[in-house]
Amino acid sequence: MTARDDIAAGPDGGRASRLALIAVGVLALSLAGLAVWLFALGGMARVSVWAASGQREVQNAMAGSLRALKGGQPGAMMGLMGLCFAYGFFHAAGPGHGKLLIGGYGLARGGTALRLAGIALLASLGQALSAVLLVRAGIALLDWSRERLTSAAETLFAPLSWAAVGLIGLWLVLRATRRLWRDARRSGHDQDHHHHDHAHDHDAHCGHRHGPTTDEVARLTGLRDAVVLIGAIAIRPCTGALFLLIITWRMGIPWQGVAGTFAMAAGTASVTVAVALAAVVLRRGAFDRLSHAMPGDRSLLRAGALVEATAGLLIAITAATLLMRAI
Amino acid sequence: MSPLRSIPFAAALAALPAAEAAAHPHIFVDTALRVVMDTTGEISGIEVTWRYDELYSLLIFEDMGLDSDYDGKLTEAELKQLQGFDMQWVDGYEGDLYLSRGAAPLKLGKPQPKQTIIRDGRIETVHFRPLAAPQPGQGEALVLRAYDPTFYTAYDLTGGVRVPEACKVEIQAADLDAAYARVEKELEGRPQETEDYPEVGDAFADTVSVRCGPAS
Repeated sequence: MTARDDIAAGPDGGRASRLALIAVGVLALSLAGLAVWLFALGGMARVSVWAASGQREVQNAMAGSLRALKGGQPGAMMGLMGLCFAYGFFHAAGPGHGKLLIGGYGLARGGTALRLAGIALLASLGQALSAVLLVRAGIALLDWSRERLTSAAETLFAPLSWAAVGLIGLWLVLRATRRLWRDARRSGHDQDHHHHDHAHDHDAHCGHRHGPTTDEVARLTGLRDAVVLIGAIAIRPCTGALFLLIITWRMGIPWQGVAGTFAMAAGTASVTVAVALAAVVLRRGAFDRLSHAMPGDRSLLRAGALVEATAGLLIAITAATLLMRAI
Repeated sequence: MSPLRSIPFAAALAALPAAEAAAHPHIFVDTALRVVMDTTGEISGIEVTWRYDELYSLLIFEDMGLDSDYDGKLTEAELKQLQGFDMQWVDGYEGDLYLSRGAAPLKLGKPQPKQTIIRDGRIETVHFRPLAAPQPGQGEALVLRAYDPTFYTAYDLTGGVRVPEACKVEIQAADLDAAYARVEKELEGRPQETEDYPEVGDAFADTVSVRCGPAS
């Protein structure tokens, strides 16, 4: 491999150009990330305003649709489902609903598009489930008032969710730092050894024979990550869903409300899944370019760890800011 | 490589909390304002009309057990029950209406309920907020803004602004680009860990300026 020969021939020059390339790679990823953040931010003010006015239209129509449903009008159920889906879509087009976390995690850790999209979908459905459970428990078991229910969502579950998200951010930073440190230590003593490239398997070098294989570890970590991500997002029920559930409960059409809540979740998921896919595609594009420019798994590993640490830090800081404001 | 790489992230991040707050309205209220002048020609207060969105109105009906036939209309008795439902303000709630003149904010008194009606399935309430100190009509413009700092409720001035004959009104729509520029500027140079995020909710609200000439 010519790149490796270059480094062997002139360690200093090779190292400098390698560092420069890594810097470029990280910058590219940062910019790609910025695009996702902006999208996650609702494309700034304009999209937020557009989303809010869409939501407002839908919200007004939804009341009529609920009355029609109660009155037994044909087609009312389909109408309600469509409105709920649109509500979820508009609501999620603004910030929130785990797009920061999903997008950030996608940039930081990669993974298959299918997997991250699945996480995004399950997180949205989980959010619907927690809304249903909260209303069921709140109204049926505890006889809470509407104010108490909705304020529980805002003052208890939202901060809980942000705390969980912040911890995930810190965890990403920790994991990346550990990898960087291990890599630095290793490069200190195996510089002269011949060492194989695994350009497409970032974590699989210097195989430890004892213990689980790297594949097994990756699978386990993947499952744990997925569960934690879904949980952190799903813990916070959406206030809009609570409104719908309380209204339908009182109107005596509770199951239609539950169905509507899941239709909202599907609408939300249509946005979060798009963010998940964008994050995976951006990350892959940047890393492909990087690995093309500079074969050798160690530099890729470092770049990957740095991106992960950056994304983790941002997730942590953002969640902490929101948490501080809530407390 | 260096922490500097995260600058674009940080810039985007800076706008996040404001956007987070600004993107989650759950209640939409069409608002109308009327500047009220007393017989001596002084501005005595503001009459506020809130027209709630249909879903929130339905939520209130269901919550209070009203409109059992679901036709979006209330009986006389039900309407009586609804009176003043949005007038029990907790301490610290400013009524989502902010007045100022020059640099000084003007203090408003407790709300005086005027009426609560139902129109097209939507609850519409009117209340009056007296100025703690009535203001002379002439002089610097009186500035009115209706917003919820947390943006849980979205107010807009679709109901319009009415002023006495001797006055002129000017409504300036919120400049969203400027609002976001302000968020970035206020955050510049602040340590990231700072807890007090600048109060920017008002930057997203329309500004109403009222100027009155000599009473004729």
